[in-house]
Amino acid sequence: MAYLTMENITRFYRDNHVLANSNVDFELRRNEIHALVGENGAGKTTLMKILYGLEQPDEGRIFLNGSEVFIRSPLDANRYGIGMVHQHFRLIPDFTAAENIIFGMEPKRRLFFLNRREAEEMVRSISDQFGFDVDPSAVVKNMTVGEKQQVEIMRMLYRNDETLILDEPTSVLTGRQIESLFYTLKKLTRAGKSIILITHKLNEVLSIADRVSVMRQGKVKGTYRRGEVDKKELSQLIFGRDVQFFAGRGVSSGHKFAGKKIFELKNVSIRSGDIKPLLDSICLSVSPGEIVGVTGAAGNGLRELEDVVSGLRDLSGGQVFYHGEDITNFSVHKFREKGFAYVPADRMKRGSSLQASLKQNLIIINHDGFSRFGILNRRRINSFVSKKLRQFSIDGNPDLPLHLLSGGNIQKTVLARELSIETDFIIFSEPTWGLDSAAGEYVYKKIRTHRDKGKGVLLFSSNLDEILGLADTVFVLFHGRIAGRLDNDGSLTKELVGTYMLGLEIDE
Amino acid sequence: MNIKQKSKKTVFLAVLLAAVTTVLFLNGCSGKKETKAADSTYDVAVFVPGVVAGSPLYEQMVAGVKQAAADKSNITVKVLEAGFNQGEWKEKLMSLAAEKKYELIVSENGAMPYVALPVAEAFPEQKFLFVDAVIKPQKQMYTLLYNQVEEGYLVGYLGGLITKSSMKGANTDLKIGIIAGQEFPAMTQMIVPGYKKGALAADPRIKVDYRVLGNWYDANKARELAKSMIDSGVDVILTICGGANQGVITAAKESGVYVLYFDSEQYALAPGTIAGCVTLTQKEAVHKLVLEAYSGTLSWGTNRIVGVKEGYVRFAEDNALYKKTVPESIQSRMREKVQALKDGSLVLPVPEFWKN
Amino acid sequence: MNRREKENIIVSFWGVLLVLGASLLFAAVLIFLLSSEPLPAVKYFFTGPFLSRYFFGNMLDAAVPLIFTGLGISLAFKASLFNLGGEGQIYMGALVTTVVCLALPEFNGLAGGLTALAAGSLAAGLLAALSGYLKVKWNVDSMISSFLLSSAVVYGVNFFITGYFKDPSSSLLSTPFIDSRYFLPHLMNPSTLSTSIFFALGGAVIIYFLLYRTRWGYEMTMCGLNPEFARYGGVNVSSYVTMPFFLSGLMHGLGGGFAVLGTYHMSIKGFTSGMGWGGIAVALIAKNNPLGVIPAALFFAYLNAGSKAAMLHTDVTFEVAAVVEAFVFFFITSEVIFSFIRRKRRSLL
Ligand SMILES: Nc1ncnc2c1ncn2[C@@H]1O[C@H](COP(=O)(O)OP(=O)(O)OP(=O)(O)O)[C@@H](O)[C@H]1O
Ligand SMILES: [Mg+2]
Repeated sequence: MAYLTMENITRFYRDNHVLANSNVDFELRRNEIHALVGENGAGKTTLMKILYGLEQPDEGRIFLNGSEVFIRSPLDANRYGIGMVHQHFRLIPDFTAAENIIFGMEPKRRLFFLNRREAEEMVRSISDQFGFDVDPSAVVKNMTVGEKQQVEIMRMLYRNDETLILDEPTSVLTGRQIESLFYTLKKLTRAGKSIILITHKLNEVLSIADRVSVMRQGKVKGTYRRGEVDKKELSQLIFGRDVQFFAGRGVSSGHKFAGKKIFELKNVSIRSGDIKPLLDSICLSVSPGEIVGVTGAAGNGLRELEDVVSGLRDLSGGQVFYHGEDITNFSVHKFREKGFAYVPADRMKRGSSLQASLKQNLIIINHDGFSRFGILNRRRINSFVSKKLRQFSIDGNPDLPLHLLSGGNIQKTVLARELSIETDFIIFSEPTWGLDSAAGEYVYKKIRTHRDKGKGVLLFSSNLDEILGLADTVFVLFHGRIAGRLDNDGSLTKELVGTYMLGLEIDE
Repeated sequence: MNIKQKSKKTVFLAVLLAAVTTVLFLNGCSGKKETKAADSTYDVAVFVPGVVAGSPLYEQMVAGVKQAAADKSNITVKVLEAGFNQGEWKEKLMSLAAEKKYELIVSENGAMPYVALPVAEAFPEQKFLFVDAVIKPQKQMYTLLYNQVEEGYLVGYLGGLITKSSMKGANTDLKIGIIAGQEFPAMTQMIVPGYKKGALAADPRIKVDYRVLGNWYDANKARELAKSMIDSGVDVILTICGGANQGVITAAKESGVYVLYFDSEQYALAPGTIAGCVTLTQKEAVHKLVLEAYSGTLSWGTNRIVGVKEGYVRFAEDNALYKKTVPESIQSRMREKVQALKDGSLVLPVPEFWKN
Repeated sequence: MNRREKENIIVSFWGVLLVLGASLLFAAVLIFLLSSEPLPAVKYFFTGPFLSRYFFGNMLDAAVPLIFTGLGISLAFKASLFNLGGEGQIYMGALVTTVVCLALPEFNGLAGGLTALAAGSLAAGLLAALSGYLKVKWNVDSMISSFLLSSAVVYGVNFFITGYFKDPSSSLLSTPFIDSRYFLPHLMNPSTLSTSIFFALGGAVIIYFLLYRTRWGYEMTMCGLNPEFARYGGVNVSSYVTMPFFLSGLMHGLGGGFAVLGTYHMSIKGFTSGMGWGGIAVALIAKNNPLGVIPAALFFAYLNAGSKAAMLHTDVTFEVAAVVEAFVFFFITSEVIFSFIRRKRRSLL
């Protein structure tokens, strides 16, 4: 029944001496959802890039329906009905959904001119067939991640791909979005598609995958059918050791944070145009030793609030205080001078510079300490960098461009940099996106340590498990307003937070 | 970006380039040693400050040298076009001299003797012949200056006669014009004063309208300029603006007035509109001077001034188109003036300024 | 450095060499087609610049302004800014330097020369900085504004050279000569080479240091690579628009100033024309590495000197030489620009 087989695949990156894939065998059956798991840098993306023609293996062969195929480029992959959604989306921000979907394979009717309405019609019919919810004429840069992802998937469907590769599609989605994605995937397998799904979330693997292959250090450690392994076994296979998953919060419930405030927002609003405000009278404060969690469904103001507290966006109204000092509309420059640390949700564009070297990425904020009279102290920089690489087990050459690192290693680079700052206030936004569970655990530990040291933490997350596991106080945003301020005293449940997220319940 | 990697590459590149350079340089120095004394040819280089095509005077200069070469079989000719970037002229002239191959470098244009000064200093053996130019006597140079006062005077006189006349393009205003591409010493010191003097000789009431275009190529702007002059009552225009001349001619043709042409005989460009031309017989001048230099009779360090009397400045009065355009009465008065310059009864000295 | 890196260097090094070699070959073919005595013409084209001290010195001297403009372009490029106004900036720098020299006849040579250079480069720097300012203030495309401003300035400078500051006693469209006390010492008489070449080499080292070893250069590079990241990291991004432009203009101005003090000793109409464009080609070949600018500028100077030599010794005419140079220029720039675009596109998709 195996219709696609990768045999003995080996890929060695000479740039940084990494054996990303080593004699990998992988087999995909028709109509299955096949999960591919493994820690950051295990070689999952590399294997899929080989299948999609983006990378060439040093060794190994690929068979489709029993006969050998040579996939030298994504064009070839296309010809064999293989499509891929990348870990980092590759859409053109200024194009509409329909334009992105048909880009490169436009309906050739009028030779040159592309009939926009026709294209949108075709896209709409795919959308109806599989239950997508995207306006074909919407411009991509105004979309939520969930929508962008749907566009990527529709792109493959438009091309009639049979084999769909999704590289960590769920790491940036909220719970509901994940549910609807999985619903779609199921539907697709029924329609005859075969799907490879890379993910770090073991619960997802157990709930949706027909089979799962585990990779570790460039090798496939085994492939298992549903029900053959449980979560604990799976994580042991992935990491080669037990990983402690933290069960509850490590905070004393009912802790009251009174008096001193590190950071405070008063009536913060953002209006653009005369439509409803993006943020409306947000009041929120962070005290020493407190983790304040902010959550909400996509499009309800989470990203805008993140921009405000990090100084990247000016307010239309309201004030921002730091230790009682009014810092409203301060530039990021000033925010950084105050010593804030900030891990942004958008790690690829905001949090890092992919063309710059790993080293250059690590020193962007601390560089004052790295230079004297404006001249860089290379010895100090190098020792700092190697220390961070060790501390965060980042797998990469400090002098090579960051984009050569695996997705998870890029995430770790951002964390390593921000966590190296001595500060009493840290902003985390979606801190575990793209991290394997071990790395995720490490970050959780770090966040809790900060809290325990009496620092203030502001945590933006669309992952409710994360919010409930970490936050002392939870704010839920709905339509740009605070729908609820909930004390996480042990009685708080996902369901309750969910009702606030949907706007079914709003506290005044 | 990997710094170390980049700098190593750069160093590598630099070293390689340096190595190649040195090898070639040494090779070149030892390899080449063609000394002058051995050969018996007389090598002449023509340095063209611009390009030959489209410039009648440069064409004449080159033709003059080539004719000399045709006369004497051991004269060789090399023509070097230096282009329009004046900044490069000195270096290119220096390159010619540095060849130490040419007995004589011929060039034309008032600026060239000055450009050549440092070259002459660097190469004391090099001889230069400059026409249409003058400089304080230099023992390596010979300059020939055309009496452009006479040139200007002849066309100015003709213009004066025309504006006064009842020719069909002439109006009642006693106004004539001159348009220059740009101002340069010969223009302000010789041509314009000569032109005015000639006009006044025709009638003391005549006003001369002198305008500067600002460049040598903008025919459209030249046309606008000519139009505005014509609108103000000018009915004869002397045009000295190179490629932009065409604009002046067009404007004149449209309004039915007259154009005077300088330095070459161009009636055929616009029959009936071009009423008179003064020309230089540069080809003959260059031919003669090159031959004198060849035979060693040219006395270096001389500034010679020539004009109508010597036959190097001519009024083109034999052309049928001229005779058709201008009435006999004017033709005969022009003949008288030319004759006066020839026999010395009319003397128009070049200003003192040019003599030192 | 590991083996792979070494391989990389060699690959990209040969890549550059291949392009340069191919362009030279192309020049040879062109000469073959356009000249009636092709063999000597090609011979002089390649060996001419090395045949005498004079030609060799001239070639080195021609590289000097190209080093300065190449540095100026590279600098702006590092901040992802394309300074298309080099022509106007170098011309401006040259004129101001000349005029200050003319206005300071009593000054002693060195201090006066330095004052003139400072004024010239400052003027050019401010001219370029204007493009940066317009971008920060009104988001005017700096590529277009620098080009337009420079074109206007070229006309302005022309006006002053052929009008207000023109030497009335000269038939050349030029200012008077500056005082000989301002001349830089010559190195290989009678060639035009002067000590300005040392300033150019020093300039390259300084810019290299600035870009790679200072916090300033680091921040600027970061702004060029990803402005959002730089802003997030606390870098004052808008200051790295105006400042690189200013410095870029400053380098162009120095190029013009040294051309006056070292080579021309006056300003002549259009005498710096082509040096600005040349700088772009030089920066492209050098891949914006300030030290790479030196060999790249020498290569262009070599091309220019080669075509001059071919023109001098054979029937190669002015036009043929110009065509050869233009072709090589386009050959190189298009190759580099295409790879630049390819890279951009790849990072987009
Ligand atoms: N283009 C490349 N050049 C050099 N090394 C690379 C390149 N791409 C990946 N690597 C290296 O290969 C290893 C495997 O990377 P890969 O992207 O396949 O990991 P992954 O399993 O997808 O990890 P993640 O979960 O973090 O996305 C990593 O160590 C990475 O640094
Ligand atoms: Mg990956």
